[in-house]
Amino acid sequence: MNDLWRDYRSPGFFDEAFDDSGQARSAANALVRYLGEFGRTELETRRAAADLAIKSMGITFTVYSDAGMIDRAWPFDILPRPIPKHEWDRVREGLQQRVTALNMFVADLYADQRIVADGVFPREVLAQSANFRPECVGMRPPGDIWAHICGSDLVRDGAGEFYVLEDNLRVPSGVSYMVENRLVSKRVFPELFAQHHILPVDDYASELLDSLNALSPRKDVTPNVAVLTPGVFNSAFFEHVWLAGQMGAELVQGSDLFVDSDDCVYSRTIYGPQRVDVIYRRVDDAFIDPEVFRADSMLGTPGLMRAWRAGNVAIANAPGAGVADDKVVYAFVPEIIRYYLDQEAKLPNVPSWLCMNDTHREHVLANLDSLVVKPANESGGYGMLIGPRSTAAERKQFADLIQRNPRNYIAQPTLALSTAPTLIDGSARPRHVDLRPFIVSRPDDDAFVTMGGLTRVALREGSLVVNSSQGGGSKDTWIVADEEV
Amino acid sequence: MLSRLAQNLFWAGRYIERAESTSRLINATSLLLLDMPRATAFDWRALVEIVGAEDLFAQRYPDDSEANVMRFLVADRLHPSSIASCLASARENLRSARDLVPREVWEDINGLHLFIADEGQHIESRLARSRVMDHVVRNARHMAGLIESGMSRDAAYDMFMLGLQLERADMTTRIIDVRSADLLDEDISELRPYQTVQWISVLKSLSAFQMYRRHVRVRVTGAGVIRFLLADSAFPRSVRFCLNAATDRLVRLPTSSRCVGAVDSAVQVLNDADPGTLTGYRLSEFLDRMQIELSAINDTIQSRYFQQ
Repeated sequence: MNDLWRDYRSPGFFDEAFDDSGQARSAANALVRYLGEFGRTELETRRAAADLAIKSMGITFTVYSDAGMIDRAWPFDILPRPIPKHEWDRVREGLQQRVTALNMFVADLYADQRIVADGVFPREVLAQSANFRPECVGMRPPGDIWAHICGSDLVRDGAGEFYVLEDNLRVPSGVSYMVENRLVSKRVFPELFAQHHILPVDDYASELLDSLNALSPRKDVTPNVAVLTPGVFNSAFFEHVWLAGQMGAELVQGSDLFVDSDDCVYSRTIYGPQRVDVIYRRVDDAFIDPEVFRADSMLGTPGLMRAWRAGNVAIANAPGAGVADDKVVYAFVPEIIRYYLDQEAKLPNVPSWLCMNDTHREHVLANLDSLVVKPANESGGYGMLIGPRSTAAERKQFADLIQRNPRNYIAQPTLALSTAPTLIDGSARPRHVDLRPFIVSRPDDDAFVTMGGLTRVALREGSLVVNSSQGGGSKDTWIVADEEV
Repeated sequence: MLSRLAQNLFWAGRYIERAESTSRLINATSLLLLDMPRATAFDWRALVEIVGAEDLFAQRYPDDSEANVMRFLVADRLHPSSIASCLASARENLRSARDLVPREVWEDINGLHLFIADEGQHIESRLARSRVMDHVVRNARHMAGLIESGMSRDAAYDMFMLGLQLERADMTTRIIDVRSADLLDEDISELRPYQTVQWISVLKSLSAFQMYRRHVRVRVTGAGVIRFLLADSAFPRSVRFCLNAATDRLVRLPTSSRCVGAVDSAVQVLNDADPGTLTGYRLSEFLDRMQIELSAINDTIQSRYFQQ
């Protein structure tokens, strides 16, 4: 073995590539052996090739700073993260179960609210939900699917068990990077793909397009699908362009669309108005229709909700789906699965304390230094308290915040997130990772789950922050077919 | 194609062309100065008149010194037609439409935008200025080349070229308008010997000198230059050529008859006049009329394709 794996240890954590005795795990075996034959120069050559590929393929994300908007090259670590297929199959079933139940939950909340009437889901949680949209009550989207696209964040604990950390049912991003990461690693390690059975990930856009087409209210014509973006200043604009390009859909902004007196949605083109049947929107609910939601929104299209309610356009995800994208709702997901499917959750939740519950809150306030506190409705890793790394002042601030608005906070134990070998200065070093698979729900079929997902890695030693806006990187995720293992 | 993107491409074409033609104009004028008699106080304000921004200039600068005029035309971001502003606007228009043009065009416009933001501050010396202007012209030409050779002849291409051709016709009429007003004034007798030099400068500011020589084959005269720049059907910066090129693009776009009609009307104005015989106020009137026609074409395209 060369320098790469020498001294590689990740004590106290589940490592994705090596077991506790330092042996390569079966799914990683071939990879470890192969890379072990590389010299430092060869590795550096491959790393440089990856950088060049990312640059020439134009894979970027946008960050804001005082100096304005910057397109940054997508941060990518060349060492892939292998997961054996048999493990992934269990995760996939768990995700399908979870998203099915969540869709039934959202549909119920906007219809009879049986789960509330039956006392399983507290009425006061619903009453205070920032993402419940009364304007959506009574709607029945096709197949009762509300959250067409879900991105769930998974982590492994010290024992290697997968847990769901959160479900993103509003406008989850990252799937373009999942696919592009694979293209980059194929360029960097073509030999490995020739030798081993790594399951493909690039069918996502076709699956998504099929699912979106199936939502079209017009069954007699080829549907016009549009991707609705907030515009070039959005941090995920690269992905919006990518999705539209991969699906052959039009990339539109709110001002490109209008709703006519027939309550149909049209895009403004040089050929005249073109009817739009399905909108994959990457704009948050609150901004999609100034007639109904925020009147100051410049990103939306007046009348869009009217057209949607009239059944003349499909919107994915459906307005209001975000009600289930709430960290308090998250804590109820095991109950939600039991209630609607009469099953136990196949993928566990991270144990969570709800600050709205008196005994839970006392526990949280007494243990702020060991817990992670999260606001109910933030994303991107903002507004969190990571207890073991917090200062007394920060804990005091969060104690006040929690007491003022207990409904808005949950707390979870700090997890011993799994690590994966990551190339740092020419050697492999353990760094913490998470995983975001994407789940596409469809009216007449089981939900489609990506083969693996986007692995995000915290590049700083010991760090748990994987967000690309805050110094995180990413890896290609390999689901390795078992016959090869 | 979305109307918004069509509009982005049209204006990207206009702004890139405007940045290029302003750079050309500045270089040709600076060169002309070297040939002029020492005693002549050159009126830099003429350049401000060409871009049609006299009022804004007067508000922003105390006098029309060379340094002020150059700052206003090159680097002043509060002047919407300065080279820096044009390049920034072209970049903003291309930002949304970047997937419709070859990738290198986006890289070029970014590079050029950064270049002028920096180098545009160092144009006091005529040598440095000439180098900066050359760089802008070359890069604008590079972008046009990338588009010409790398872009399918689709609606995106048509819109970009339409903007470019209209801007080119517009700049040609402006240059003739302002420069002929100076030149045709027979009273300034001490300048008379320099008139040929000045007409050559007009040709040079439109990169037309070489082609004029080859195709007109008489000595450079005012009438000859005006006829060439307005009515020649083969020279790419002549108004007639630009109008024909605009029609070529328009006929490929959907339901363009109103827009084609607007261009036809401009061509008719050109045909009705005999540009080589126009002098003094009649030339000036004709050029005003042509400006109105060009602006009507712009408005017709605007209302047909961009505002619905």
